[in-house]
Amino acid sequence: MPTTRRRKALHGIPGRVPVLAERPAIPGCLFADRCDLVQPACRKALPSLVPHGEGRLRCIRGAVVPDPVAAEVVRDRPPAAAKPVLEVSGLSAGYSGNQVLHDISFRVEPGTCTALVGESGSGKSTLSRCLIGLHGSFDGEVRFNGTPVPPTIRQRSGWMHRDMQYVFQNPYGSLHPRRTVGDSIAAALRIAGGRRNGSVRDAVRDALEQVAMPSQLADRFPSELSGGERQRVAIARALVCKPSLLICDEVTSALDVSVQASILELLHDLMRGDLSLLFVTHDLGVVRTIAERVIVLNEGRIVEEGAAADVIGAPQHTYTRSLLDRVLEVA
Amino acid sequence: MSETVNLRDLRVETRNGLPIVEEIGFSIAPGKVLGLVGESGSGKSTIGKALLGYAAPGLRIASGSFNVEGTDLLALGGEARRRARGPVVAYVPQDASSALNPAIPILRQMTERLRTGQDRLLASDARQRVCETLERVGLPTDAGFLARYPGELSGGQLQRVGLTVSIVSYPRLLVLDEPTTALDVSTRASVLDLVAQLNRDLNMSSLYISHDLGVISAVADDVMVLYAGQVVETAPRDRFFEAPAHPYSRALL
Repeated sequence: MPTTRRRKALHGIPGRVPVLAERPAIPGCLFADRCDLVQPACRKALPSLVPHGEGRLRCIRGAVVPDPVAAEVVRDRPPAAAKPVLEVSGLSAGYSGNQVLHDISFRVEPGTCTALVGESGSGKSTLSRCLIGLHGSFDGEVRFNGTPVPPTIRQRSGWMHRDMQYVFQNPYGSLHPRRTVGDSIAAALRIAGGRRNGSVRDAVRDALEQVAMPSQLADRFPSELSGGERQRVAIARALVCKPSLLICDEVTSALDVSVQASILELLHDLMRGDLSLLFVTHDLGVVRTIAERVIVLNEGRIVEEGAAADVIGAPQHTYTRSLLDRVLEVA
Repeated sequence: MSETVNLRDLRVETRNGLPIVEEIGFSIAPGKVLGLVGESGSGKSTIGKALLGYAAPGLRIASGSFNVEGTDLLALGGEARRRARGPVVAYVPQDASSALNPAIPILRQMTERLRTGQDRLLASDARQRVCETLERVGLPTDAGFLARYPGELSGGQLQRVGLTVSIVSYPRLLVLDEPTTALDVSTRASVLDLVAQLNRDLNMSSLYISHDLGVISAVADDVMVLYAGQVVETAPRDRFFEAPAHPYSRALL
């Protein structure tokens, strides 16, 4: 599970829990198919629960050798390029006279992940909606790859649609229930433009492969997929346009720990390319796992900004500290 | 005077004999909390409910014994089992708001067990007991509050009312089934503190079911990990979080 204490690589547990009806047919350890330390002996007989230290354990290996988990995951980054992907200066926005965002300025460097953190009501979703063009109007300037961005999505040009993509919080609500997964992904391509019909199928297959889903799933409907799979499809739909910036609005909060880890792992891998992420979340453990920079938002204002290790390791602002204090950690 | 509660060799299966959970056993000393962890579908709630002698439709408790103060609760039937729920073993559900009747004031729901169960208290005595318990869980005891309906309370207050219903007969074992999952961070912290404190004060044994390892590390003395209906590891809390022995436990952390 993600933690705020150190930066660690997260790995989802591959595979799934054996279904009830299959269980009698499995000769050995039930966890063998998903275990990365599996040996042939594991599949011979079900291990029994034997005393182990002060507790008990069901594993023929005795205890696994603890791996050096404390090792920090350091990614080698090229030095910040001259031109930021996204540059926001003096952005203010609100709803019918009620100002929600006050004078927001920040930038996102290419190939990095910037996390936008805050509680419910801090304005983080409004900010991300302004950036993607769903909010209608705001004051201030947003530049994307050096070009000023018009406030609404209709005024934006085709390349902007393609290059800046958005993944919504709720994978159950963001996919069209009566469209197959493949059609949903293809629709994104058609609307954003830029591809002829012949290559659409290949593009869909590539996008699904990028999120580690077999291309046969293209014929399925969202209701036939699990929560984690749907979120992967939503990410694939964003990736099919080959964006340079992906805005993720709480993409992991609806998912359970193991699925969450595999989605984070996926996003992490995608950043090896040129993709930049703006990751909106309230979960500081997730931030520590994935982000290089953190922006803390409170009541529509940026109260702290800096490298993730600094902000989470040594928070300066009282609000950041109070957020961190309330995170429940594995002791 | 309180004794350790003891579960041995519990097996819950479907009608055609497929096991949902098997070979489940543990002991919990008075004042201690055992944390039960596992992914969705691993059988956590099945175990929690079996401790009250309940199995979901289509399932049955095939074997096992559950000793609390010399009585095997799983061997009890009908009326005797019903009377044991409350003073011997009580259950706190995940979502208190759906467990309470929205059309009945909370006082009547909290005193109901005391009036009809083993205790058979008079209305005034039952009310006094409820008020003592409400003070323990940090809720007001004035007549105005007691007359409220569940819909007039906040999520944290409702979870406390649910807790009051469960502990008002001072059970020996309290089964908490993800009681904080629906609460926000600060409410959750205060409910967890409360659970730990009640456990000490009333000298109960508790089984705390959760998939959230952060919560488990905050509240449990021992940890039991469930995978596909089987226990794969049990260990004292500190040892578990420092050096999980099973590959599955390690993967969860």
